[in-house]
Amino acid sequence: MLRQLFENKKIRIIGISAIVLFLMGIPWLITGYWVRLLTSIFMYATLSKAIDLMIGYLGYVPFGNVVFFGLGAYTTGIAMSHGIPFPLAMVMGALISIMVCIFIGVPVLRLRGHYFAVATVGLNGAIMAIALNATALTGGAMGLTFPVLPAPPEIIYRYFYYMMFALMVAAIIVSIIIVKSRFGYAVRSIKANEEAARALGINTTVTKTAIWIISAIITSIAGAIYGFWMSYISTMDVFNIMIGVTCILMTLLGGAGTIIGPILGALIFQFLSEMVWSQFLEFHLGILGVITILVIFFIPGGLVASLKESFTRAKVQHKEAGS
Amino acid sequence: MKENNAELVVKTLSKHFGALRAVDEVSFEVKRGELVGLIGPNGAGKTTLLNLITGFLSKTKGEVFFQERDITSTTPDRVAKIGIARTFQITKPLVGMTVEENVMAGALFGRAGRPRSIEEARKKARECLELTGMLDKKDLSVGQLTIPDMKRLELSRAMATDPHLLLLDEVMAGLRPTEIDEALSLIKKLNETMNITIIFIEHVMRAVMSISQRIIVLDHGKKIAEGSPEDIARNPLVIEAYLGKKYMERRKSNG
Repeated sequence: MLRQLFENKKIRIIGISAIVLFLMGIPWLITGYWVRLLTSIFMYATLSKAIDLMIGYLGYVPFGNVVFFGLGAYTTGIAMSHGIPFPLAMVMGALISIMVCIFIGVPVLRLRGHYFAVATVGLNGAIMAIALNATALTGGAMGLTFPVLPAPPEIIYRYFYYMMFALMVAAIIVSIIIVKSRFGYAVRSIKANEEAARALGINTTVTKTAIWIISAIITSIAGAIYGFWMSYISTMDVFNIMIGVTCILMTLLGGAGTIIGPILGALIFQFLSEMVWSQFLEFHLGILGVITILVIFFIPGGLVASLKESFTRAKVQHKEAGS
Repeated sequence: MKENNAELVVKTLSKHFGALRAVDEVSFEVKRGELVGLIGPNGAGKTTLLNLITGFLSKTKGEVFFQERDITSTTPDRVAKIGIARTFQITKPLVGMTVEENVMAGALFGRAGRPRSIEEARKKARECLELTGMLDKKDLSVGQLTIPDMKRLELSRAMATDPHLLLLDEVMAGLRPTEIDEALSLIKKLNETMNITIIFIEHVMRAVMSISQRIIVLDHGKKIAEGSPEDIARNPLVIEAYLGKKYMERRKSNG
């Protein structure tokens, strides 16, 4: 019966509207702690969506995609400390990420598989080192402080909650548009077979760079909001490669290349991390490793694919029983 | 000078891999609307020649002109955009997409012009699948296809790009005799009714001899013969390339 609910378009629209309305209203009913937790879930969901554009749709794994998170956060922070308003500062962060994508993407996206993954880690390391050493601009190892909003904490929490929520919704809409578009066919063709894609007239370099740019813009805006939200950032914090690794894991857990998979993955993962792991701080990484192995062994296609499969199986059994 | 109706002109084209001359100073012309067979023993350089024309490999020397335009150093996607489509000997289906989506990818890109909308591409894809008899399999994933169906898919996808020139790399390998007949009539149809210039590499001699207007023979990277199917069948150099020098000597001594 649950299956029929998912398939009915009207019910789906009502369901989605209900979820959106619920998420719009909830910060007025819960405490600051929960608002912050939800904001961080939205952030990880957004970052996972951005990374899934590369993993699930293009078939490239950008291990160091967190570089755009750091770039977004740092550029925004530096611009704001020079009196530039947040929206403009955020756009500047996105522009710098786009430039990095174009200059680095064209040579680096020639590399396939793990070579590309390693190259992005190198890129992250290099830009992190620059941020750490350009002390005059970034504050170096001292970190960077953002101007604090002159408002009571609960208002600030809600402000960032809605911003992160809007970004997540935008990321979902972007991925839906991409999948259904001509551009999406180009991206998926490249994932399937790069040579065949070229033979069909798809400019692979431009397509790959373009999808990486979209991923980078979303990631850098998330970084900008995060920095403003935390009001203090350090290189160890926003260029932390583990953010990217966690997002890749969330994506795999929920299902790479699906609309809702990365969101689902982020939700489960962040809840687990908050509820369970805060009790076992020292085993944090160990548990992360164990979950990775379990996911790859038991649900290699992710939760969404597994659910779909069991639905189809139920459908077939239903039909067989009926006939 | 080039003739006006020459679709493809290849001039002293060479590709060396170290000391190996995979393609060695090959020159030929293909007229608009021609159906040309490209044959030669294994390792003669046929696929390498195709890869040079379509930009998948860069030449060592020589030139390639398509519709009087120099395409010698053009990338594969540009080559496809100006109207040259190809199939691959080892089929390269778009895994993870359905048969229809594979062909739609061809219809959405391919020869430049006004880009098709998704719905127009779906329509075009279905026309092409109809042509190759694959329409009833449009919703299958490519993993479920047999080898002959993969070949048909390659052909449908290449057709969906609206090519002026179609390069077919062994589309009949692995087909049963009746299927070969179907493929032959399809290729003839594409050539005659849709006016597509076709160059096809094939090992099935019956196929090459029956539909080619002209045949080009490669051996060890060199063009050793060119002519009508009848001429090629009688050409001693060609027989020698396929059956060996000893066979020719024995045949001569036996009178």
